[in-house]
Amino acid sequence: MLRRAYLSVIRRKTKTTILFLFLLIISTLVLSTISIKNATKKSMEVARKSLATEVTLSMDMSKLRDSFKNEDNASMSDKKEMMENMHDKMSNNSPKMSDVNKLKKSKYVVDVKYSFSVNASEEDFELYSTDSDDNNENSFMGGPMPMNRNNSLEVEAINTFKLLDEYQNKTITLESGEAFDEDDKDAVIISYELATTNDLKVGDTITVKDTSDKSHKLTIKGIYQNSETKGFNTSYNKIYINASTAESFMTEDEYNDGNYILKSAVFYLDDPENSNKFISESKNIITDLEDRNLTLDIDTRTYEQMTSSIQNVAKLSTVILVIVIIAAIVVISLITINSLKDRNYELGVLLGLGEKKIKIVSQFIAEIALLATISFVCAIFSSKLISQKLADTIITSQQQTEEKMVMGPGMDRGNGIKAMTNVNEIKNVDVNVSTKDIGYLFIVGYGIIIISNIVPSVKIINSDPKDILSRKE
Amino acid sequence: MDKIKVTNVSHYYQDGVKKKRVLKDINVEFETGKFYAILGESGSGKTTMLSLISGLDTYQEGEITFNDKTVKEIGLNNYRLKYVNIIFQSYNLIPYMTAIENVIIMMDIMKLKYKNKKERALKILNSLGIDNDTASRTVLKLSGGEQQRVAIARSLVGDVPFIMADEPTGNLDEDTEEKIISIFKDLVKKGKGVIVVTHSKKVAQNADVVLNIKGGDIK
Repeated sequence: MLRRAYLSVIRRKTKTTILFLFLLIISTLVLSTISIKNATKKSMEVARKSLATEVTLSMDMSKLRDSFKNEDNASMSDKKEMMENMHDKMSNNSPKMSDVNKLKKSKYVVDVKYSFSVNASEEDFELYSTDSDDNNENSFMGGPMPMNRNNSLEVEAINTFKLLDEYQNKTITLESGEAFDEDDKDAVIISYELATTNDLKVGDTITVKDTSDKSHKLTIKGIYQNSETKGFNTSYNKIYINASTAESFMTEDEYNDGNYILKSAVFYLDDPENSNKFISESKNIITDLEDRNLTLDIDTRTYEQMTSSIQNVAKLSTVILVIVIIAAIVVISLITINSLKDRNYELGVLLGLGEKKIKIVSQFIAEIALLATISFVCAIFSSKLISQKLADTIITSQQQTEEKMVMGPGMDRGNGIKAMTNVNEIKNVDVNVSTKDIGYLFIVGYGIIIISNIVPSVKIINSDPKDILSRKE
Repeated sequence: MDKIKVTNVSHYYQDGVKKKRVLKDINVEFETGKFYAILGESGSGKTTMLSLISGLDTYQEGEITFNDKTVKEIGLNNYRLKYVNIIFQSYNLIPYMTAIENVIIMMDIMKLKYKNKKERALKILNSLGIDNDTASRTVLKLSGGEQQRVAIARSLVGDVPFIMADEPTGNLDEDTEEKIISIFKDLVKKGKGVIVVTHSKKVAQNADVVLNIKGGDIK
């Protein structure tokens, strides 16, 4: 049977060449799409592992609104009482330091960010005054500044300065000095304007008073610059201090055994896949999470934005793979059926000589499998040449489509792109044909051959040698 | 001595809604060591007769036995493989193979364990007048007579007791016809049973037994 298959392949040169070229195209496409698919999967995996997923513990504002609606506010004697009630509710429903301390012990948490505000006032330095600004760049519509936030000192505490949102999204940049971390006790980072007003530099000290009039000496570790266009909302008198330093500013009531209110609490997880596990674990640790209207939200936007292009490439390569497989099955079936018509006489002769039908089916499959094996080997080289180019082409076309969608008709191009620039989107995939991909090609390829030989095989099994040979006679 | 026995065999073809009988109550015996010629006009049923006794087709009524075992018991495929070989008017060789390869594939089909199949094939081909050079050419490049000898060589590799042929000399010139008849007679001398369906008077003259089929009956 193998001898006949071999002879048929090498003697029927034209048909063999045509079939071989077809199989080479098919196997190159199959291997390329498999490689692209696996490469995008790998890139997404790398991206996934490189990004710590953020889970934010915050107030569930929609639930809070509902609870306000449900209460009979009319019964409250005046507006002040209503405001006090709202303040109490907000306080009770805010994330607390004690919550963070419980949740940060989870094995899924690799880092945590929390910040809060403390009340303090300047003691040995002056605040930067926008009224004295000769450029008048902070004036509001040419008139006096309403509710100017720069009239008092703002003190924001954060456990690690580098995790500060404004620093991460480059709203502020360090003009000199460096960021503080959790261990930098009494360190402070002040604004460039505050430093200039008081002729301060890194290493100098400033003194602030807490609400109990207690003085705290802080060493300037860094000076920041507001990099955004300065405006009404820009805070020049804001200083950042270490969280543990800030705790010493609190009164006993404010500290409340570590249950003080946080402005925000974000947990960075080791793997996005563990997000839901972390949330369920957290609900077991803080059992009154829902009663307190607190919510844990997963932020996978960064991961999704980073991988959006290659996710589409992965989807498109799957579609191409499916189309190629279906087309291959149909075309190989037709080629084999057509070849069977040509070789009907040979079929009749072999059956007439007493050959078993199953062996004839095996011969036909062996012939195509022999050619397929050679084409698979050649496809390893050809797909190495085209897969990277194919992937680049798909990614480029995906990005063009996305750009059009982001900008929309009539939208300014600059604005559209700006929305995407905060994230480093993966714009290329390094496609390498791996041993695993080759393995898949052989499995898929032989699968295609077996499936495409089903119809011709049924035809062979139903053949009658006498009918075939008598037609020939 | 091996024997094929045909007992009360009738055979029908479906012709539209009608059932047409092509053979009726045939009773005949074929033995090895004899040369049989089956004669008859076109449509007389002689090729049908050969199809049934060679196991290419299944008989509908009666019984065909090989050494007292029915062909149905033996199995048509097995019967064709072990006990009979058929030679056709159009030779029925695999066109893209050489003469040697056509002979070797028969050895493969019959699972014959020869140490050197090529040598064995050449020996048979040489004995039928095909030289090594001719044997190495693809069969489409051979003359009709050469192709028929390759077909005979193929039928001889398995050393089956009966060789059956349908119009083996129909496409051949007189000289080649004589050579083929001579080969058949040699085979008979070697103990084979040769059954030939033919129109040729020359073949009939050389046969030991001549069977005339007329209207589906042996006269």
